Order: sequence, then C-alpha cells, then structure tokens
Amino acid sequence: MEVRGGIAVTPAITVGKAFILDREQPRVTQQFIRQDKKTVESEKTRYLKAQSKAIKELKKIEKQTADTKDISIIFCGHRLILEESQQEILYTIENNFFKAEYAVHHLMQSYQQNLSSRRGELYSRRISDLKDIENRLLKHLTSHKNISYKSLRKPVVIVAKELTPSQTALLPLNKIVGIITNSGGQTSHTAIVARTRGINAIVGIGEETNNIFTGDTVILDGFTGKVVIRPTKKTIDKYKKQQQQQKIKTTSLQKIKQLRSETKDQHSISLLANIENPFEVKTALSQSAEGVGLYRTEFIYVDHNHPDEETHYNAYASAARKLGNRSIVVRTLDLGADKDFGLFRTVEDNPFLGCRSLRLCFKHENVFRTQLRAILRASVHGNVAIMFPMVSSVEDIKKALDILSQVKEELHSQNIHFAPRIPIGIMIEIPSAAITCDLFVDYVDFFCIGTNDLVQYTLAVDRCNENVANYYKFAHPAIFRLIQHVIQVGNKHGVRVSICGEISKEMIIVLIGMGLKEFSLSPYSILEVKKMIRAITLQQTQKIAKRVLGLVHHDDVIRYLRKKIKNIEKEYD
Amino acid sequence: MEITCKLVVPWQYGVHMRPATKIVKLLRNFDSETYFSIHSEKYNAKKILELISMEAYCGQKIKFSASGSDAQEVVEKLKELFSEEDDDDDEESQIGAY
Repeated sequence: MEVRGGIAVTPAITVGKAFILDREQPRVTQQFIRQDKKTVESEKTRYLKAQSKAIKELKKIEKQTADTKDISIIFCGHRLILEESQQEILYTIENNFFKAEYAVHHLMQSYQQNLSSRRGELYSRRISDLKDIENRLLKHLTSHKNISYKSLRKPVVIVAKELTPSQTALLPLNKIVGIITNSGGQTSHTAIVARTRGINAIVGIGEETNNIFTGDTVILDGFTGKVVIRPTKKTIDKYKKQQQQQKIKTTSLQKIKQLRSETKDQHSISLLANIENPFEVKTALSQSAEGVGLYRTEFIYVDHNHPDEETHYNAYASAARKLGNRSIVVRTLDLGADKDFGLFRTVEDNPFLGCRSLRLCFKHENVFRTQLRAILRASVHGNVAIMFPMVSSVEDIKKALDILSQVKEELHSQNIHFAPRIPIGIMIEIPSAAITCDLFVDYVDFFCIGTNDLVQYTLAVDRCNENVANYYKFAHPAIFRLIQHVIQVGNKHGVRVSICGEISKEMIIVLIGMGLKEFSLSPYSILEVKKMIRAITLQQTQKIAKRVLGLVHHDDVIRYLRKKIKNIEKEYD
Repeated sequence: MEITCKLVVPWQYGVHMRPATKIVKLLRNFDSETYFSIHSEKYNAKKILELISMEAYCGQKIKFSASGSDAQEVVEKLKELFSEEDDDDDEESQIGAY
C-alpha cells in the first residue's frame, strides 16, 4: 500500500480499479533495420497498420466533435497530414532503412524544426499540432495493445499524465468513477471536466502515476487530495465506511436546502456560488445559492481558442437568464500566470507578478473591449454586475472604467441596449489595494476579497510552488488585519464587501464575526456552510473573531478554531 | 489553361491548421494543378504540410495559380474561401500575434 498526495477537485471518496490511459512516450532513437527485402516489407506493413489505426482514430474524433466545427476540422487536418506524409515515410524506410518509428520521427521533426526556426508565436500552434500527430502515430507503432474502453465491464479510475482535449473527447463518462493525473491544478483541463461532470479527481500527484498499473485498486480521497495505491483490506474498509457516512451527510444536508441562510439569531448571511460555465448555474441553484458571486469568465478559453463577442455574449446571457432576478457578478478575464491556456504564451520570470489578468486586458485592449461589449449586452437579461480583477491602484480602476464607458458609448451609438445601472466592483487581492481601499470607494459599488491571491501576495508565497507550501497560511495575522481593514472601510462608506476563494468553514465563522455578510463559494460547499451558520449566533462569531485577532501564531489559530467548530458541530449533528 | 490571381491572407495566424485544411479539402475536388507562390518560393496548394510551412502572414499578398480544365472555377472557389468570415480567426485578429 502506498499513499500519495495531490490536489483534490471534487469532495468525494472513490474506491475503484485503475486504468492507465497513457505513459510518457519512449524517446525515439536513430534505429535502422536489416537491409533485406523481407525486413523492409514487414517494416513498411507495420507502419501502414499503425497509420491506418491512427487515421481511424482521428475519424472517430472528427465525428465526435462534429458539433464544434472549429475543433473537428483540426483533427481532419491531422488526418490529411498522416495521409500526405505516407509516401515520404515509406521512402525513407525503403531507401534509408530507417526503423518505422525513426522514419516518422525524422520527417515530423524536420517540419517542426523548419517551423520553429522562425520567429514569432505564429507557428507554435502548428508545431504542437505536428507533435500531436507524431505522438499519435508513435503510440500506434509502439503500443502492444490498443486502449479499448469496450473491454471495460466495470467503471474505472482513469490514470493519465494529463488529459489532452482529444483524450477528453473520447472518455466514456459512464464508465469512469475517477481520474488521477500527474500534472494540472484546480484549473487544468482535467479538473474542469471532472468538476463539471461531478467525477472525483485528484490532479497533480506528479510522477507517482508511473507507479500505478492497470487493474490496481486505488482510493481517491477528494477531501484531502490523498491517493491510496493498492490499499490493504483494512484501509478499503475504512474508506468505504467514510463513503457511507458521506452519503448520509449529503442526504441530511438536503434538508437544509429550503432553509434560510441566517445565524441562529436571524442575521442573514448571503451565500453565493462561484461558477466557471453557464451550465453550472443549475448546480449552484440546486445547492441553494442566492446568486453567482463570481463568474470566472476566463474558462471560456478552455473550450474556445479565441472566443468572439457572440460566444462571450451567449455564455453570459445564458447564465443571467437562468438566474432570473438573482445577481450575477461577471469577473472580467483573469488570464495569465497559471491560467494561460497556452494562448498568450508570454514567457516571464515571475508570471504571478507579471502581465496577467487586468494588465493583460489592458495590453490586449480589443480582447477586453470584446468581453465588455458582451457583458453589457447580456446585462438586459438579468441582474448583472461587472468586477475587475488584479486592481493595484486607483489608476487601474480609472483606466478600466474609462474603457468601459467608451464601450458603453459605442453600444449606445449603435442602438444596442444594456442595463442602465450596472454595479461595478473590484477584486481586493493585492495588498496595495487592500491597504488603500478607501481610495476606491468613490469609483465602485462593491469589493470582493480574493483570498487565494491576497495570501500569495501578502506573504510572498507562490501558491503553486510546493517548496513553500508551508508558508502559505490563511490564518496569518497580516491577512486578518488586511481583511478587517477592508470590511471596516466598506461598511463606513457603504461599499458592499464579499469574499470569494477557497476558504474553510472555520475561517468563514471568523469572517462573519469580523462583519462580513456575503460569501461566494464553490457550489458544493454552500449547504455545509449554511448548516454551520444556522448553528451559531452572530455574537458567538464576534467573540471567536476577537479571540483570533489576538492570536499570533497560525497554528494556535487553527487549533483554537478546530476546537470551536467541533463544539458547534456537536450541536447541530 | 493557366490562371493566376493575387490573394490576401485574411487569417491573423497566417495559414494555420484550420484554413490549411479547408484549402486542401477544397482543392482536392479539382483536377487543376494548383500552386501558391510567395516571393520566388512555390508551394503545392493541395499539400497541407506545404501550406502550413508557408511564411504567409496575415495581410500578405500571395500569388495563386491553377492550371487545368477547371482552373477558372478553382480560382473563384478559392477566392470565396479567402473572403469567408471565419469567426474564430476574426477573434484571433483582435488578440494579435506577437
């Protein structure tokens, strides 16, 4: 039995059999075949077989992606290249006596090198297309047996390096209970697929996936991010029991759905949902979200390479319509750094301190304008608010508002309608913005504290760097003081303050005590948080907050809160 | 019969995989021999690997020639393709290549 850690995506426990989707491609070396007719012929046949399998596979993907022509045509192009390169590959096998793998690699490399010798980002996508084609051919040449989902009788846990779009397109979702990947974070392709389909996934466990083999029993602990490989019977039983308890808990939470989100002494607390796709609105509402507190629009780039205004508009309008009168906060593109999606490919030494988010929008103002036009147009379909991320100074917000008013002007002159009064907010996630938030009050209607980045920037800890993971501490006095300051300024000037980000329910108690009344959470956390809020009085939370603000050490805070929460939980269970 | 015409590359990322595929799929329906030329380089227009290797930037003028019985029709159809609104690529032009 072995235990490995990764990043949890969906809060669930899964016990299942592993199914290995891919392994790192073996490196192709310069290999030659014997120079006789028989060997040459059999090598040619081997190549042709692999090629026809690859073509068949591509045809299948083309068919499956036929709804989205943009994607389908790319795979058609891959197929044309496979067909077109046949003659030359056969020629090198026959005349240079290259082994089939080497012949394929040689030809594809020559095209890739030719393209990569040129300057500019223009060719990088073509190069990755060629790599994809080469890998597909090599896969069929080297693998002993083909992956076939058909042979699966029971649902499996997919183990892969990272799911590529083509792999994702082929996943038979009814036969999958979990996904484990080497790479990827919360925002990786795998995580998004898993989250939206409600499949348990642990991503980013590193090279450890090489230690898992098809048929191994694996346990995915979606609460802690743990992966247990080949567990003992005792461990399986333990997790199965936990699975059972989880089911009971989920059922008991269903009863909370109809109840109001308020403290024991009837102070209401707004619980909103974070979403990434319009279809998640349904999930959010099913979990009794009062609205959407954060729509992470950059995820539109996962499905569309460079979405146009209509694509943006359709997404926002659909989300707004589904929400009816409930509010929806649309955050403008927060691309860059860990959410580059391979589109902007700006290579920077410090991407988190670089040209990301609002800064990237200023740099590519047309992209920004397109999105703003779409949000404004969608505003007539519901209760839409706009929020700008990564604001660091008053200049930033002035510039963003300036562009927004130009876009409004433009729509106006074109006789295109938008809601007359659209609330504007900013993310408070850079310490400079938190410290000087009083300077923003005249420009905005609400502040939304983004905890993930605020912690990262305040404590100078890269949240993606595991070497400093132990320095990433939400319960640091600096964070509490910054948040407290923002709440006080907001209350004084009538600017609404909310929090979005992945925060624990313990912290939510502290923040309620500090005066926060609005939280935007992942949809699946809402019911549990609501349950806890209903079990505590406002006074109790204030006491807890006061105590926490007096503590110096992070560990003391955690210990104190755990104890308190345990007591509260006893009360409501 | 040989017919030549000048075309302007409308795709911001040049002739990348998507337009290249469309071009090849279109031209394969015709018997004419077809070539693009940029400066003095000649590229077989029915070969996708040659198309994606062309150094053709957005806005660049490239020469197209077709020779064969259906040359006239080829040129017309290709002109249509080069003036087609491509949503995706239109958006790419806003982001710009850099």
